[in-house]
Amino acid sequence: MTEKNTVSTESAKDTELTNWQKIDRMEAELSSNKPKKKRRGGMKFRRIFGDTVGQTVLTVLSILWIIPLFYLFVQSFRKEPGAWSPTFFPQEWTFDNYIRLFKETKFLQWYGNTLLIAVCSCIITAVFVLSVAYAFSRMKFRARKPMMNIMLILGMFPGFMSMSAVYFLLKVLLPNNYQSHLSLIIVYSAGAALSYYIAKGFFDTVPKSLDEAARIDGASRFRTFYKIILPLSKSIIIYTILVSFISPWCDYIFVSYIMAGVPDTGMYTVSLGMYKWLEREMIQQYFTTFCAAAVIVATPITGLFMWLQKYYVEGVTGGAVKG
Amino acid sequence: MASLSLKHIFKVYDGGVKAVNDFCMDIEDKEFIVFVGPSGCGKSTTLRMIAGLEEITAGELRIDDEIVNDYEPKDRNIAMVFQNYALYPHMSVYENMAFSLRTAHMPNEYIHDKVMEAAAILGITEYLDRKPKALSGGQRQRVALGRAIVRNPKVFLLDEPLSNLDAKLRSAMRAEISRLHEKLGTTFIYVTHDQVEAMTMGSRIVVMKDGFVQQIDTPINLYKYPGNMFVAGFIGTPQMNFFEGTVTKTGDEVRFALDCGTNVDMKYIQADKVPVKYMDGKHRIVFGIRPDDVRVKNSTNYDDGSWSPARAIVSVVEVLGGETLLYANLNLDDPDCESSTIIIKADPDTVARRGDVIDIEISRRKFHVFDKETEKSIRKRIPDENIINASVRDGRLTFEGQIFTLPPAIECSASENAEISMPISALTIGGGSGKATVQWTEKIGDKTLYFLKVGEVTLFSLEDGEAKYSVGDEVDFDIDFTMISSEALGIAPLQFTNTLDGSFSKEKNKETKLYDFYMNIGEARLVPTATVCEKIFACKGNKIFHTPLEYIVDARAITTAPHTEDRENVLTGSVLEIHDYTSAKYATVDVYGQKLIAAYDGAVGDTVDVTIPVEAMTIKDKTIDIIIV
Repeated sequence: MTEKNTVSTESAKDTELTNWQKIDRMEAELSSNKPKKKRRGGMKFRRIFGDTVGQTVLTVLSILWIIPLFYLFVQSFRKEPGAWSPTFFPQEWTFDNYIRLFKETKFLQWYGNTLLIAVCSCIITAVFVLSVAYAFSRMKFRARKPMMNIMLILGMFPGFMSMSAVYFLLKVLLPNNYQSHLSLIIVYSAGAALSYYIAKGFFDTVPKSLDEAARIDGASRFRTFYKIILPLSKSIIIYTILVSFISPWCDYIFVSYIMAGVPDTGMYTVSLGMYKWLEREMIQQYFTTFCAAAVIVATPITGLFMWLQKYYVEGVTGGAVKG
Repeated sequence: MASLSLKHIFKVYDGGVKAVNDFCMDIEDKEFIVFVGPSGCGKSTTLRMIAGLEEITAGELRIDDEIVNDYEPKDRNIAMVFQNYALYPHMSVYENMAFSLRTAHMPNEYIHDKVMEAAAILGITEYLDRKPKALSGGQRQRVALGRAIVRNPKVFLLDEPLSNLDAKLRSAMRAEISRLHEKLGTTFIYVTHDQVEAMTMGSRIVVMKDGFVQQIDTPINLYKYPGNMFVAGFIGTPQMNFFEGTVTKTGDEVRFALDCGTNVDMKYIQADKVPVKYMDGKHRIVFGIRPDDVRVKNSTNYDDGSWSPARAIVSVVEVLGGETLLYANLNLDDPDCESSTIIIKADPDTVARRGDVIDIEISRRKFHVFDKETEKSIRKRIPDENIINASVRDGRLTFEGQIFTLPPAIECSASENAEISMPISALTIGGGSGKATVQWTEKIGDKTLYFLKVGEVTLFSLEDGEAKYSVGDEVDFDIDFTMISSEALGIAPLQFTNTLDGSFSKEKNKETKLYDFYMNIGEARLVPTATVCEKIFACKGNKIFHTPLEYIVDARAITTAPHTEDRENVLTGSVLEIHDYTSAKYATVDVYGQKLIAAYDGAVGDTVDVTIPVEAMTIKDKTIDIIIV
């Protein structure tokens, strides 16, 4: 603005402000006059009835689901050995299973391995998924539609169908240590972009005019993405991180295949190591330890879910951002 | 601080849908331009093309004489305000406004000064710490304006900024935006679908419909001189009244016979801008009259002969306080007949009830006439053509006592009373063998329209600058015979616009190993300049090699010379016909089977070299009918 304009601004400021204030006041009056939405009273009985039925069904279902978990939890405190116990609750309670888990087995090592693999592939996956989803949501390029379709179709095949191919690919890629944590991280994160669609669905709900405004403000694509879009996408980021953490955390199939025949049991992940305990010759000895391990494995994820479930739901349902 | 020029701008989407057709406009510095039209008319697309958010398919966009087609939005020095505000929800008002400056890595003190200054102008200083969510709609819109102001743009683009606001608030904001425009002294381009916003804010308005520009003019001129029925109906509330009918001229009397039974009679001089050819009682026309230009007959009304009486039956009365709107019907038998409803803006004291038959008066000055077929105005502010009834004998043209010698190019048999028409630019004042009296002058923009009385008829001439002659002056006038046409005499105007079919091709240069590009016309090929090539590829890409093209060039840009030798960039042709207009001679030249008109002084059968300057050529895509260059 030129100097002259600034001067005229100064002199006109008094009338100006009153004008804007008038407008503000007018708007406040207008919005206070608007009728508030009222719930219709006639529907009340129906609503209560529907709610009651729904809540009951859900309660029953959740009890059914919780029973096996609860059984596992209480069995982890059982003192008497063996895979089978005649009672639901242990006859004698003890904390020994947990102590044994950390003292006598390689569980802690496995736990560390799994955590490392899961965190690494989770970060890589989240970056992949979010960038691919943003690109598909915002950029127009010729191969966009075909690529989206191909990725969707590829994503429909179960991942383990490619197992033997992956095995040989890894042998070529990492000839010396294909049976390693690095190859597991590669396996878990390489195909990550295939699950772009939920994040894309979310980005589609963020108004495009925000990108356009940022573009006019001089921001590059990347700056727009990390300064404007990402801060608005907390829920989808958390959703993506959770999902991409869980799959390597819980995966058994790929580990068992890639790690097959590795002599050093210290390289194992929790799922592989724990599965060994369930084999015929081990189960009698290790069943209660297995239960204790399962509780420890489930704890961080359960905690995360409970803490972040608000975002998780928003992410799945595509939380709308309104200006 | 900036002027804009849009030249033949097209927007064609992948599916072949044309969103914007041949948009041409020059925008002066500090103008407030409003694009208005119903939804889907291409107004927002045009704005987004100016902003750089949408690619321009073909055409040239200049900001301050710089072609910006390929510039990123940030390099165009524009700012845009969006309909849904597009504020960054997670940033405070301050950060929202500072974002563009931060992106440009400005120092913090500068950013602070700028934001505070803009906030003071817009009265949002107290909300700077809030998030957009905590603001009302009007305040958010002001933040959006503020975000634009801090960038000091050359051009402000506003895309329906007020349409999300309450009606009452909108009118207040309207005034404030106008004031802001005054204060910033920047070029504003404002898109709206609301004609009231357009009329009250714009210094010039662009009315659009279906991707075509309907009319570009000042609000008052749009209201007074709508170019077609769409503009006439769109601008002004209540809407203009339209009635179908015919016109007849008997001697000095003109009668508009409307289908609903009402006749509007007037003297010829009151309707002299309507071309005489429509006054045959056969051409279907639409008579338009604004509600303001109809009045209820009243004994105190002063009548200087400019009001034509009629009767109507009242169907609805709307008392608005300051004025009363009467919805009446010219068809007295059927008060609910749609096609003969007339809305009258009457005096607030008018007492009328449904069913009353009232005497009304229709203005003989401020009426509009449209062609029923084309819906275009035929009572234009600047008429298109002059029409005379002339006799031709011995190579002489006689009409209303004027005698002109016909040039040899015009050959026709002797005839009496033949209708000859010419565009008004064919008639020039000052010099020539015609004599006329200036009857009236009208200043239109920087030009002057002369009403010339020649015998019994009125002819028009449009001259540059202020009026040089005053009413009553005797003037000489001349006719440019290259432009006259007459069906009765078989005279066609000389076609100055040459259209040649051709194509575009590439050929690998053996030495440089690069491609050379050629514009092919028949067997000849012209070498395009680098700029032309650039524009062609920007618009069509590789498809250009398979696209049939039209090369359009004005005859006056072409040079001809007797044939010497075959040369690059020169077409060779043979002269088929010579048009001798005494002052200038033109030839029809056959170039590779296509006809072309160019200035040439020679004889039929000559072989000539035709040089066409590539820069003067317009290149058109024949398949989707867009101008590429």
